[in-house]
Amino acid sequence: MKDKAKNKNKRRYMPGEAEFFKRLQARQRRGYLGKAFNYFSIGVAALALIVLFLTVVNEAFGAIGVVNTIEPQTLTGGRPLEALESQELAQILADHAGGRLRVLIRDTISQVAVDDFTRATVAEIVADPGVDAEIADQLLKNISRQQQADLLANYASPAALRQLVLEKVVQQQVIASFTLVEAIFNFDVIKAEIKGRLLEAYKKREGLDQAKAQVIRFHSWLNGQFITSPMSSVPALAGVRTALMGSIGLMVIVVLVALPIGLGAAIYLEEYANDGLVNRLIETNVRNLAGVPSIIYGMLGLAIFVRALAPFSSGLVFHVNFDAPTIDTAVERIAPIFDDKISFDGVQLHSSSDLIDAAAARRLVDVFLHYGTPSLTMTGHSDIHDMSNALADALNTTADVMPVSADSDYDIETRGRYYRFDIAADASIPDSIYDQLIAKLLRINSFAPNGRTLISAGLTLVLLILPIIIINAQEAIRAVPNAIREASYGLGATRWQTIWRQVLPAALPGIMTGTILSVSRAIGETAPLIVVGAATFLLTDPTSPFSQFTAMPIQIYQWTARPQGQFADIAAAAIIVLLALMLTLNAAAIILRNRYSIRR
Amino acid sequence: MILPKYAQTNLQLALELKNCSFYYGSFCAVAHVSLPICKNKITAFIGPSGCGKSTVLRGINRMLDLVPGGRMEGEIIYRGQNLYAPQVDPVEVRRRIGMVFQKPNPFPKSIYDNVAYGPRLLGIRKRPALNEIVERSLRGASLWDEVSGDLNKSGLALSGGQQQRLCIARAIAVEPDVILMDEPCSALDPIATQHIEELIRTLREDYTIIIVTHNMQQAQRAADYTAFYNIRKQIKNGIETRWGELVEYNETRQVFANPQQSETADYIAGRFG
Repeated sequence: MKDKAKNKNKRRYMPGEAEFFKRLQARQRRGYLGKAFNYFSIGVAALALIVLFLTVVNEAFGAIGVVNTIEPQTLTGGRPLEALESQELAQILADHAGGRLRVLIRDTISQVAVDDFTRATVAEIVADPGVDAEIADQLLKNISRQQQADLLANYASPAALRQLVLEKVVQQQVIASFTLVEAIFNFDVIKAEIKGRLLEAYKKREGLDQAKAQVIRFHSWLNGQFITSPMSSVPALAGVRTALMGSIGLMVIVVLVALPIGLGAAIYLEEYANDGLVNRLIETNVRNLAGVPSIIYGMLGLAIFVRALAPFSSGLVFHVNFDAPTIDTAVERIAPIFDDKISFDGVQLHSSSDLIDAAAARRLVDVFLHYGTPSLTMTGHSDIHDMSNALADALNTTADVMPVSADSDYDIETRGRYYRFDIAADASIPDSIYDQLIAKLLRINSFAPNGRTLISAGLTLVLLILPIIIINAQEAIRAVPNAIREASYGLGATRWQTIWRQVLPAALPGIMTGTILSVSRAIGETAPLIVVGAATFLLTDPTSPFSQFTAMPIQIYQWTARPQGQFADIAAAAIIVLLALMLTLNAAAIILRNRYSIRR
Repeated sequence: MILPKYAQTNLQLALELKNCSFYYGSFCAVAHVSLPICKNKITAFIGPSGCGKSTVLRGINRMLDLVPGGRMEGEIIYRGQNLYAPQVDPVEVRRRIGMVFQKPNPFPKSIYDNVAYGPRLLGIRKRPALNEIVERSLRGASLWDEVSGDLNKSGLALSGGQQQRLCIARAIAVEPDVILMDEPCSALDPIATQHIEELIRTLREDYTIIIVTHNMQQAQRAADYTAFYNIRKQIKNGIETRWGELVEYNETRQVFANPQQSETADYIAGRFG
């Protein structure tokens, strides 16, 4: 009786057989839905990746239409370039390459530093004491053109000379580029278009009347020359070397600074800190900082490293800023451009090891205005680029200084960060305009300590990834079993011995992985670098932490922003280089982790 | 509580706990423990879970300091010196009073490096000296014959019982006076347990051993002296507080054959709780 009542009162919660199977089906259905969604997600991710990759590859490889400014046949009397001897190639250079033989020597066979080039003897330049005794002790500018050509013939390889002839004499111009897909599926259409409309447009633009032979061929924008060349305003000649070096430099600074500091902070927070209010506040803040947008760090870097610490970040206090030009080095850098046409003997330039001051800048502008303008009218289009680049380089500016021929006597115009100097050959410039020009030059920051250097950008990126490194290292340290710590303490180890000999080695794989992943994030950052002032046009590699710099993402951003289609192509090629760099880093992370895990 | 008649039997003391109370923050885990530990003897701590045996053990070599809020009131006399005196460095205490833990916890290193870790901490760098210490310690922990062929093997590759003996070898490598063992056999199978027990018996010749155990047979088999701890409860203003106390301490034979306290008798007979 009693039992029955009990049973009656006991409520049934478990479903019956039929109900159970009905619910089971519903449960399974939900499972299928969830699974389908997961497959869908991974599909979207994979698709995005494939599309990205195909787009980049499509841009980075393709077809180009090329026109020669001077036909090789007219130089060689019908023989192909490959059949020529070194001597003949050098002769072509001497005859057709304008006043640039010394520049060619400097860029191809010189064994001395660029800054010492104009002061070096021929023997020093070729690093061969056995060179012709007649010219061995001469300065390069004092030997004849023929002798210079002989030097090139003797010391440069035929392949290098051939390349020089193609670059400097034949001057192939890319008049059109097409993507890989277009090139594969529409090659005939492209061909017709290049031969017809595009060639006509090019001829019209360049003021040519006779048709020139043109080459249409497949082209990989990503090639050896692209990796090893510095920036250029001509897409076909541009490369990523400076940007790549800048990125690697940033990486080194970031690892060297962020790893010890991040690790130290993580060790403090995990092993030393008590649970007090201050420490909890610090930890919360570190976590929040990891989520701060990167451009904010850029602002911080600009305020602290670039501005407030300019004497340090420019290298001024260490006297190591190789890039800060003295009047001598600046003139020397311009000098090879003018080469044989202009002698500097008549200009009074006082030797000074100080940085350029306003008066020196004025003299330098003098040099440019005085000697530069005749050269403009004489040698034409391509020299203007070299000269303006050299001037920008010599003045250590980050701006493009672009002299262009114009109708007026002079015109100084500011467009954003660009300065245009339009100066006619015999312009007489009123003092007021002259002062204005100098004021503008001075404003380019080149004569004041310039904190827009590799170290500033590196430290900014350090700030950016420090919270991530700290959090990662904390996780890794926390994951070390407490039993290991106890065992170590139990044997009479001090706290530091325990950390150094047990905790850190055990946490190392995790710390490494975290660090490398955050470093690869830093390498991909663009926004903070723009804010701290990465150079957008830079011809020289960074030589010290206090050099001006540019970086891969900056370069890519810069190229994609240009209207010409070929810049988009080299941007794609640069993206592939950047991706390769990142993949290398990530692979290193995985290898390191596996290696240390196996050792356990 | 009955103290052993060490004064009469002329036994030397390795340690003496005088009215020690162990705290975690404001919570008192074990109260008023007074206990002499005889030299070159095995002392077992038995008692139900939560009675504070392990806390006392960790208090003895100041591992308690590592727990946030862990502290002790009272005195522990070792070589005439209070271990908790302000001028005493806990690092030195732990070097003199070694510890073996419940779960075997070899370092993720080779067997050699595991054993050499302690001597290296003390600044011994010379390879021949280390070699000798490692061999002596492994022999001492009767592990030498099993691992001498491959000292570079990871300590984690050994079986559980071997790992625990490795931990013992590691502890005796720094030649401590006292070895504290916190349930060293609880994670091991009966055969490995037997190995360790035999080892502990032989270690007694050179070291003073304190062992915490849940296994009363083990205490009976291995220990010379046994201390029984029990839980005390108090309800005050509706809040229950619990702490541990030392109930009985005597020669093991006496504790098991002739317990003086009814609590002890109940616990030993399994009539507990």
